[in-house]
Amino acid sequence: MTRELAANTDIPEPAMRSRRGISPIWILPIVAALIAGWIVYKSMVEAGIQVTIAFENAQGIEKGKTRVIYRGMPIGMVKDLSINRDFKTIDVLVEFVKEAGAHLRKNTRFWMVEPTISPRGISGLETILKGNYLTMMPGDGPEARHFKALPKPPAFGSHEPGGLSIRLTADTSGSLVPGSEVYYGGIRVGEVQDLSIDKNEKILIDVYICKAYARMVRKSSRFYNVSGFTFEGGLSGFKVAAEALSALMIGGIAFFTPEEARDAAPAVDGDSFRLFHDKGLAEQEGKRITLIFTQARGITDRTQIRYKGVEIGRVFNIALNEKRTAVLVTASVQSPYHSLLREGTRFWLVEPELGLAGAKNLETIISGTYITLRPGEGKPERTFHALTEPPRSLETTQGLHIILKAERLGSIKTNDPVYYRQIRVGSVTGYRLSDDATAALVSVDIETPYAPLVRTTSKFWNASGIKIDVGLFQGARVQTESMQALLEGGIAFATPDRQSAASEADTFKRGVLLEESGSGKSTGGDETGTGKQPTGTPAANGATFELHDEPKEAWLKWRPVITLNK
Amino acid sequence: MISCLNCRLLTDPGDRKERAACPRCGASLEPRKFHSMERTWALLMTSLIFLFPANLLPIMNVTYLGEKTPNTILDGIQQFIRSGDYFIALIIFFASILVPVFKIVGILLIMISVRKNWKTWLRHRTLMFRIIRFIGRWSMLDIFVIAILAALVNLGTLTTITPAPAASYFAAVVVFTMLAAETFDTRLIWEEPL
Repeated sequence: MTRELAANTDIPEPAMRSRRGISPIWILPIVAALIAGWIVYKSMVEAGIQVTIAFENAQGIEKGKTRVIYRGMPIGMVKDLSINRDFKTIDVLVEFVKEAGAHLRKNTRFWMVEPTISPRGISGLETILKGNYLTMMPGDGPEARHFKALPKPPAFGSHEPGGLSIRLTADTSGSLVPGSEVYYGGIRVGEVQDLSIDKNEKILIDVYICKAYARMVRKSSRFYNVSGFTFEGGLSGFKVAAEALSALMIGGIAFFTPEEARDAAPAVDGDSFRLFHDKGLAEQEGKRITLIFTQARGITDRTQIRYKGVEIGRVFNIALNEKRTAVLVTASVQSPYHSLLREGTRFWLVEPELGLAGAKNLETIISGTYITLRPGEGKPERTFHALTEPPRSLETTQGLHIILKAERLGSIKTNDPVYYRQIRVGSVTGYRLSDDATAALVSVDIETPYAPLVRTTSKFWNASGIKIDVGLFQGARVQTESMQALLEGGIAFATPDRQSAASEADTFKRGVLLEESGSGKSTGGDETGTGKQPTGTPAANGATFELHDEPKEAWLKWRPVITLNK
Repeated sequence: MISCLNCRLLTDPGDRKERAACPRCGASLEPRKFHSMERTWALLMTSLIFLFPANLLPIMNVTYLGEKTPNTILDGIQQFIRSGDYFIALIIFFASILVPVFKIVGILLIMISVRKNWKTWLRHRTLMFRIIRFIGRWSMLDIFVIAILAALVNLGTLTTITPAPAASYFAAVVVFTMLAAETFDTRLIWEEPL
């Protein structure tokens, strides 16, 4: 109808507006698209960084569950796990937050955190409930996307660069394990990282000292094992020492720098040190010397070397030589005393001596025998033939040395005293058979102050034992030198004064034995006169005298005036 | 003849061009829903776009012992399957994944059929549309679950559940598909092209 109308009349047809304009409802999908686009953009911008980390053992790592936590903050998530083609490692695909990208560098290290219970405490406790997680330690180097995980957490303190990695060598590992601590003055300064055995079957211990304490380690520092505790006991009491409770349980290493070597250069990475078995050995460590003993009776690996009573070293090894004929005692002597080790130095073992006259070196019963030495001259030397007994050669003292010739040795021994008026003035330093075997030669040392007492005319006799004269008319006479001489033996001597010598000659001439009266008179008369002067000249060093079996009566009455050396 | 969309009163507007109103309820009378196809298309597109973030982004965050675990819808279903709750997994899968997809695909199919003027399966398409409208409301199940969990499981550090962005997108998908179903005029299925 309307069409007809329009066709037939001049009424203009209304302008038809298309109703098919864009309806405002289309705003909705546009908004939705914008939101979706924004989400896509955001996820692209914030897209994580995909990194593969190779683990030797991926136990506890779960896809989509296990996270990488750094300083308590999750920074990554395990996206996938796959076994490497060689079936040796597990490649763990981890997506990191974008911010972590700059820190994923070549030396960044990853490891798994598991709950551990150690004497140091319980760590990683949160992993019991939440499962293991990975953590990392940022490192330097170029950015990387493929890593190899550490099989165990890195050493204590190694999160800060600049620490010190050193290597110790030892014969046994003690009870050290990776994770054992390193102490300096009882403070934990580092950690044992790894233990291995080298081709010489030595134990190599890799140690990390954290940065703050790295300067404590000098090239001269000495390391020793403090695992367990040390027990030192004796009659005077005992001492139990342990470095730290944790060292007691998981082992530990301590070190110190000897006082005299404080200014040594600081240690650098890769330096190698010896690990001593205990602190004592570490302190003793110095020059190694070898002492050759005929037998090792009483020597243990703790036997001390003392000089003038001061400990200067210690034995640490005893072994037979190849032919099984001697004992090689290896000892170390502390560095300040190295100057004592010279060609002429003599070593011997000091043992307790119990004799009738008394005991000597009794302290060794408690403290054990020790080795002592007499320093000598000559070039520095490291191997010594130890003496079987204390040296008794001439050079012992600076006193007067004389030789006595005897028919028989009697009961004279080394160190027997030599008496003058029952006062000890010297000692026997040794004895030997004369070259033609006709006499026993006794070397005697007279102490310097008493040296003038010995004159060429002096008479020596054996004062050992008791002399009993039994005569028909005079009854029995018991004569001894001092009590000590009686017990211990000894030598006595007397020097004649001129008067006595003269009267003696006279007596011999007359064949009459003068009793005390004669001498007594003369003695009273001229105290300072020439009659009281000793006869002969002072004995020279090395002079030879005859050693009589017993003194003559007259000898006992000689009273020369002799000025002693001061 | 026009049926009032509001009170279903049948009137005969005749040939009048001006806007007619229902004599009984006063609603404006339209022969077909106003711009039905266009609006349905727009709403459908919107819900289709939102379907992706709804399924790909985490729908809730489960904080267990201070450790936040984001869960997408599929993650949640996987968890239920792993813990053996197949029934719950099935319901959530049905309500949260299958239904929205079915709705969007169904409406899309009907729209295309109208546009292309297909003349077959008319009854089936209407039936499908009825089902779509019926199940539409059940899709909100997931949102309710999250809402209830977020309210109930709030034990501080021990366990806390909080909704994540996908919940909003998922709600948007449900709302927009329902709106799309609403704006679509079923009569277009039967209509001969002009």
